[in-house]
Amino acid sequence: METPERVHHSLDGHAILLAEDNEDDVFMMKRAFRKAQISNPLYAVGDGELVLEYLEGRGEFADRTKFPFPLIMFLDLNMPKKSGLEVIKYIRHQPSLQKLVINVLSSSTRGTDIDSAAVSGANAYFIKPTRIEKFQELIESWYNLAKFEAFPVSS
Amino acid sequence: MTMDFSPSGSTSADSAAILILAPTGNDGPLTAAFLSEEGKFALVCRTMSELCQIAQQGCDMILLAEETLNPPSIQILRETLSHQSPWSDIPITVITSGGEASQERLRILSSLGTSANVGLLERPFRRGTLLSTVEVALRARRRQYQVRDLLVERENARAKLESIVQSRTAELRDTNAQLETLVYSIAHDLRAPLRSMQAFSKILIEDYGPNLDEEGVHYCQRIAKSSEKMDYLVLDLLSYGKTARSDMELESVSLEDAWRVALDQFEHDIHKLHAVVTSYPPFPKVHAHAATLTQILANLLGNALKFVADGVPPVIQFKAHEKDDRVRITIEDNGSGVPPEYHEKIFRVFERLHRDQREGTGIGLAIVRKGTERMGGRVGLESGPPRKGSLFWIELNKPPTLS
Repeated sequence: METPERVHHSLDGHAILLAEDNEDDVFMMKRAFRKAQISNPLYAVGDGELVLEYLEGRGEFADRTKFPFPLIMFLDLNMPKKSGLEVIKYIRHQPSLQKLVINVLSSSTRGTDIDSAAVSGANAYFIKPTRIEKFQELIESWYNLAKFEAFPVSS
Repeated sequence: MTMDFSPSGSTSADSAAILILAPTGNDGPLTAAFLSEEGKFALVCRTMSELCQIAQQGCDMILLAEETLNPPSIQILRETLSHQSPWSDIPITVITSGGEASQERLRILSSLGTSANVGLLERPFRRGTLLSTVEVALRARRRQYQVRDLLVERENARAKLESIVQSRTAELRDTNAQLETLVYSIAHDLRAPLRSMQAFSKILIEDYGPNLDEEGVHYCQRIAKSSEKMDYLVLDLLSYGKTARSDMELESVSLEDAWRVALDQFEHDIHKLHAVVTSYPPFPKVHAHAATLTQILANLLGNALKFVADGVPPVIQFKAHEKDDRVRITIEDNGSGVPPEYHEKIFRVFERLHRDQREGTGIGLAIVRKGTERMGGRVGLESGPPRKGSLFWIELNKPPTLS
């Protein structure tokens, strides 16, 4: 049987990476995903260096069956070792990572941060809501759109 | 381009350069020789063009025999003189011989007008007369050099001062930027744990509510509320800091637009509280910073909506009228009012009139005052018996008229 041509990926079943140093925020993200009944596997890393290690399958993330390459990453800007902006810049200069969808999720409302993220190559910028209800709402709204979205095939 | 008309070396009389233009014959060289004997440095030129060329490099005075004057030579001289530096006015002495021809040449000379510093010396003259004429001219020229030196000194001092001001300004701007970044990151870092406190107290209610009794749920709600309040406090402090420090460029701002944006922010509260807000147009333009003005009006409107007796619908009136070159904006409410002894105090940071049953961070009115002052205005209120409620006023300048 001929396999259908893989032109686009849908969100179905693909891994989602959370780059977030605040454990509470990771907890709330995971809870919001669970509440929104999003079944994609979530992986979390806590600093900018680990983000790159994960994406490049290095070190403890070498086993791709345990740590699959993500389709989407939610990225905090304020992280130890390498900031979110540095991470974006690095990714956009790596041919093998260029198609990764990067959604910034930061509590920074500063125009300079939002601009720099866009210029560096982020796909979207979400401001972390202060209230947990809004957090939930954000993830649900994002998912309602993302499940209809077509994604580039990652190499 | 202006030329200096000054000798490149010292300006002492010894090296003074006197340029001489005389008709063919011995007049020129003889005069030069005489002046040299008297310790002056004189140079005989062959043509007016040559004289002017040398003069542009610097000279102390010019001696002309009237026979050298004709319309073309005067034209060259006038052109050269017009390029002098502001401090320079080269002394020129014309040696005349009287008679018809002389009158005609002097008429041509007058075409130089006031642009030239010309004196006449009539032949025949004694050597002493020539010498004293030259001395007077050189003395005047030395005074011009002193003016030049003072101007240079002043310019150097000004440039030095300017560079000091520039480097200080750069330092200050740098420090300010660093402080701003510091404040921002402190606020950012403070807000993250607050967000967690708020979130986890709510999660506790949501996920474990059934295991808690009514009092337990109530405590969780109080934790959530307190962390929420502290978050507002941090946000207001950030906003106050921004009002106090950020660059504020003033321009002509529509008061009507600013008021409308403020109203929109409270649309929900106005509806919920059955508030009656009446505006009295027309509203003049004011000299302000649009975002700051909007925030000031929003803070005042928010207070007017907030501080009324329970169950009483707020009644608010917004007016503005022009008074000389100022615009006085008033927001009047039917609220609980402010006793006179607190009129000054409530505009300070963290000063509040009401205890915790009222929302409020104690920063709103401080922002109102700081913002108004930074826009060159004043703020105040009228409240207390016999008036019911309060009338807050702010006075701003009218936009400068374009002339």
